[in-house]
Amino acid sequence: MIQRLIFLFLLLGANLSALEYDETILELEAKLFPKIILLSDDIQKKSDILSIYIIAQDVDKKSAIYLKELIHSNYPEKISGKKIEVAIKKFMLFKKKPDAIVVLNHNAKQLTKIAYWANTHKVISLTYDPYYMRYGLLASLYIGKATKPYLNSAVMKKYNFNFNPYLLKLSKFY
Amino acid sequence: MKYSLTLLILTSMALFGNETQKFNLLQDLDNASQISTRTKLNMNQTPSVVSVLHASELQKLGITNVYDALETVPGIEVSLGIAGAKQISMRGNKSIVTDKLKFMVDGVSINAELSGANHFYLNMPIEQIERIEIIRGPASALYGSFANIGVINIITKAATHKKSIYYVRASNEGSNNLGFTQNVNSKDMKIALSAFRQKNNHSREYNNYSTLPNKGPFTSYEDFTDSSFALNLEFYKDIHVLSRYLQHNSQNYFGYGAAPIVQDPKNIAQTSWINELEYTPYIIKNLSADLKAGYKTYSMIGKSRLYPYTKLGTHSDLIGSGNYKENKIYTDLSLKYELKDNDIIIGTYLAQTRADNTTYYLNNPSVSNATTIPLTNGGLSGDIRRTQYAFYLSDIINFSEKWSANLGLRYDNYSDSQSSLSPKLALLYNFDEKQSYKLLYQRSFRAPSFVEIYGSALPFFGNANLKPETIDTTEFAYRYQRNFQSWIGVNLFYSQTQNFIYRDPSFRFKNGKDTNSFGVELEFKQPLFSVASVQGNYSYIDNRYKNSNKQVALSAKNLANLMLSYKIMHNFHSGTHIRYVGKRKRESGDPREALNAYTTLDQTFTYTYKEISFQASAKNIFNTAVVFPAPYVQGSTTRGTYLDDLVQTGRTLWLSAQWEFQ
Repeated sequence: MIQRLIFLFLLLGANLSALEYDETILELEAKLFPKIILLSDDIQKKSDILSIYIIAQDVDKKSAIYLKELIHSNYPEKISGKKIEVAIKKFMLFKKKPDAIVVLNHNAKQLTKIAYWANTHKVISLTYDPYYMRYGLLASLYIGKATKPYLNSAVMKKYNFNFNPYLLKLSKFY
Repeated sequence: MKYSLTLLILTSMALFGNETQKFNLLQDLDNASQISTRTKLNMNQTPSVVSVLHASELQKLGITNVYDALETVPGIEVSLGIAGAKQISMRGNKSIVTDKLKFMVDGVSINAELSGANHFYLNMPIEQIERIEIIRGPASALYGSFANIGVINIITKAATHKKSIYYVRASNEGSNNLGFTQNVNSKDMKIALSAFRQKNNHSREYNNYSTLPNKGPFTSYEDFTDSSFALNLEFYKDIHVLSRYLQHNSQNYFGYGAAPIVQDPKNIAQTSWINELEYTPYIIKNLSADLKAGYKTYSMIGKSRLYPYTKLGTHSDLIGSGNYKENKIYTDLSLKYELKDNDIIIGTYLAQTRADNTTYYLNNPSVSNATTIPLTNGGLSGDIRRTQYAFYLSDIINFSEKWSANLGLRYDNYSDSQSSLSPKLALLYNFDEKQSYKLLYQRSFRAPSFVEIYGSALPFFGNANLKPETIDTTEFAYRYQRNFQSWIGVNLFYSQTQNFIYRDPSFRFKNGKDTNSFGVELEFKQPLFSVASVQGNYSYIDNRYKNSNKQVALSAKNLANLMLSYKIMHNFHSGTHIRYVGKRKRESGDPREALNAYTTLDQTFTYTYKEISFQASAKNIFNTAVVFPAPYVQGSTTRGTYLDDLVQTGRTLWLSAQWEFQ
């Protein structure tokens, strides 16, 4: 029996990849991430379009679509004079940079690469899981006794990201 | 001047716009905090120990209903009780005659006073469910009676008003199921209609019944049909209406323990109808109310075979038939006051239950099919009315970022039983954002059910002097949560029962046979080498009688689950569930060998095309012998034992399709 289990495990584990996404967390992030982005001092000066890329691998496409739909359903109209445009992309060195990226699951090497590109191009990077902020991503959501924006103070300082003081007052710092 | 005025207006607009935006963010964060608490996302940092199972993840593991889902929870063992009633054992404490778990659907308790009666809700299809919240231990300080060995709260898709779903599912063992949840949402009102119907056409053979040595094999008639309809309404976000109807029509399985059913199986229909109106207004800043009023009914009507006249050589059995109905009205009013460092809830509960339309007959077809003998008071003696009221208080105190506590106290008064006081003390220490330590003490109770007080005929003789049974539990929990998808947890618990209610060999209910139990529960979830998500748990439970220090029989000491989840492609998913149930010791005086441990493996594949999913699932893939214990009856000429126990279905194949959309 044990041998059969090990065999089955190896067979199935050979070329598979996956993580589960909590739908409630995606719903909270879809509501809060656009507002966090809009409270960036850099974003306020830009055009009437707020461009967000969801950076996702193929296996996470369904969750990325769900997140995209949630952002659109939360903000069908303009918010702070900006129309939100969301696109799902695999990571590459984008020629046309968005205002912000929302990063779903990747391995550590990819996350480091994505964070470096975003920070050096002054693109606000938000991550589904605050754990990924250790790879240099800028912001996420802290879910504790209270829910708060979660900002990476080291990245803010190093790459000179500035946010509205009101957001800073409400946030927790990584 | 004109330029200055324009500049002033533009500046004001910008400021006004910015302020509005900031205000909305604050409100959104408050809402997010409430959602996190309601959905237990932040349970790591709240002073309670809760498991939350998400139906979307369970489905991918081939889980088909609540009964299957509970098997994946640490400390829970499933089996079958009287006449095939699905039975849950939590940390070694088992529902035997009365269901001892508090079972709620969308926050509304469905337990009936007759005997707890919730086992048929365990068939509820997973497709109807958003998530299952489980308190794996006593919780009377907030939930009152029945929250004795645990609380299960099913949150349906209908209650969340998010996704609509239509589905159909069937197995090669004669089960089929179809249902839907349909949401209709407007700005101020949300309506969800849901319904399901499931049917099980199945019977199995059992051999070797102890008092009928030459009459085997015997058939266990296991057909059942569930029909359910529900309406969930939400007006202006603070008014909620729930009406849920469920009828469970089932055969008598392997009988009531007296003897097997030899011919012409009978049916019993159990019906539960719950209705609740809830209003949750904000009265002033930081002060909100939760006002509930409800009406619910439970009825049981039908026939069951009780005694084998076959033993006498004639092909007819003694049939019990009749009907029972209880009506309950209740109110539950509470106020919540949120201060900077305190969340205080104070509430009162008032309920009245009346059992009426109760008739009960015995019929011996060997004499005449038409002749029935009515039993006085329908098998339950006396005028059955129960009035109960309760007061409760809960205070969550945040001493600092790291330390918080929960103090709770509830007083319950019953018109036909002794009152109970249920205290709770919980202490939480957040070492850092990832690690939390919890220390909890709780006393919970279960008031004697109607059958335990008022039963006046075989197989239940009530006892008006029964005291409520109580359980004291001390628990320590540690959890390390690295991120959303990776955590480990350890729980240690020690429980002591007092005035445990049991049925003696003469079928009379008594207090006694108290137990002490100790256990360890380990849990983890971890992405494995970036190729899979693995979740598992292991439980060790040592439950012993206080007087003799002998181990309580027929429950496993060791339980384990391993669940592997893989997304092969974005639209193709594989789920594997391995379940281990340890050896189960026999009761004192039972000469049979201990029941063997078993391991089952379920494999499920899910393919999704746009909004439609197709699923194929093989349960118990290696056809392992899953055997539930049959209690041993000693020295009786009228009652016997299934000597080979209750062997369950082996390998089963399921196919399903569902259409889920926003």
